[in-house]
Amino acid sequence: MLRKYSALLRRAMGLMLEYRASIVIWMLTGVMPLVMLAVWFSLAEGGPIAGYSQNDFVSYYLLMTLVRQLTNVWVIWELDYEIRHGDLSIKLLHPINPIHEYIASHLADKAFRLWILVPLALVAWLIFPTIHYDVTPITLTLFFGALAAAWILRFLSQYCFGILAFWISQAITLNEIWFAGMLMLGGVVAPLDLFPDQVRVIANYLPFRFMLSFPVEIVSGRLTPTDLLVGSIAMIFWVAFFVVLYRWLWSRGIRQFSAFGA
Amino acid sequence: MRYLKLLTIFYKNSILKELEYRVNFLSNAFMSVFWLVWGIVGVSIFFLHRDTMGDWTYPEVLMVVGLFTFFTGVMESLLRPNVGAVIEQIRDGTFDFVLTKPVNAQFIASLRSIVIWRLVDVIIGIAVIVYALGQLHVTPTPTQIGFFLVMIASAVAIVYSIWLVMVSFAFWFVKIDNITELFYAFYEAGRYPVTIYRGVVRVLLTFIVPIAFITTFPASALLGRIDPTTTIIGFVFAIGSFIASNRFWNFALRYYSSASS
Repeated sequence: MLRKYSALLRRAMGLMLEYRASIVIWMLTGVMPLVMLAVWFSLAEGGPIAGYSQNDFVSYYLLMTLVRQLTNVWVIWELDYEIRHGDLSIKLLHPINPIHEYIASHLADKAFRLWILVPLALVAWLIFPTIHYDVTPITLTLFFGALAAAWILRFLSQYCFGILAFWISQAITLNEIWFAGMLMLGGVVAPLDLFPDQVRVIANYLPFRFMLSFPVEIVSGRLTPTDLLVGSIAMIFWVAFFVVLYRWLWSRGIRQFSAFGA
Repeated sequence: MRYLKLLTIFYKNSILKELEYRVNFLSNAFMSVFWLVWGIVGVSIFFLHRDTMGDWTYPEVLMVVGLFTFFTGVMESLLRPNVGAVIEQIRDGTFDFVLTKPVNAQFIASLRSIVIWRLVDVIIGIAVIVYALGQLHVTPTPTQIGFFLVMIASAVAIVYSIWLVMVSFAFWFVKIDNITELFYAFYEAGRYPVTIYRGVVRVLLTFIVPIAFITTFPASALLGRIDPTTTIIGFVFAIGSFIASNRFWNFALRYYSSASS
């Protein structure tokens, strides 16, 4: 499996490097957190909003931008196309589940993005030297764990919507609703702390939070140890949930596919 | 006149084709309303914490949201379908047929198709603007309506110019879907009045990616927040972008190498 993966990754890396310019443009399409930062920044001119000062907004949204860039997924566009055009049948002949090819190309994209984002993050830090994060060995470990989980959740949930293309033609539209939910309740439009209490209580347990907001919250220093523990349990639950859902949908979908493909 | 007649034929043709996909109407209408509600919820979060946004009250910001939806509809129904068509024509070389027609190529390339379903956004956008006016209890004066119409016309010209420039890029890059997505990413900033942005960002959104002219300024005109000078600047800016985009299109056209050569 490891050897197969390194082969897949090498191939994906080669492809990515060929489309460098296009990846940079795709990266620029992820500016929405910065737009929201500009809005909240000027709203907070008159004083902190729900405990967030201008500096807190800068810290929050810069990291949110980074998390969004590093968890970006697009697999549904490929999966939906390949299912509807039948291209998937070629991939099914490969001695490896197609999901691994998609994972490899996403990982290659992340490696490329990281290479651009690290210098940019340093520049951002020079421009805003006052940004602050609660960095301890524990929060840092949790941050990277939550970042990986966020990517897994975004990837697997989108993959599940993609699998729906076996049965319906509007899979991408359903995913658009899911994506809108993530922008709203995943902490892009506003940090979850700024929502009314009744909404926040529910949003804290919804998958959207763990697709973007949770890694940022971990190093924000606003979560109590109990919050961290409860959040981590909910995060693990959602990852497990989508793994199971993916396996179930995939096995059903494949049967459906061969039923009309053969 | 001849061009108007051609446009009618083009649109009749596309509408007939579109009518075959009536399911799209339902899902498009649903998504239009969904994104509108999403936008209004987003704005409401700001107003949970503050009474104004860059000096704009809630109903005034709603008007900007209405214009945002209105222009989303304009772009999605009248402009975006043509970008897709041009890309395809450039890729398989059938763009030759566009060039050999005895009609201006820019006219055909940029206005050939229409997706009527997306006009839903235009309608609900207008509805939100009217609702916001009702909430404000203001009746715009004829002068304000005049300024508003001038600003809307300017905004349409600016939006058209932006899309023409994006289409022109297809002569070099062919695959330009990421360029249109990039524009939409910046267009997101147009959900809120431009006065909320500070410094460089505001300059960027006014003159470089002129989103302020699309959503904020027409709303300002209707609210009587705009002076005649700004209206004239907007109008001149629109004409300028139209001419510039036309130049750019002609320049890009020279790089078209037919598929066979």
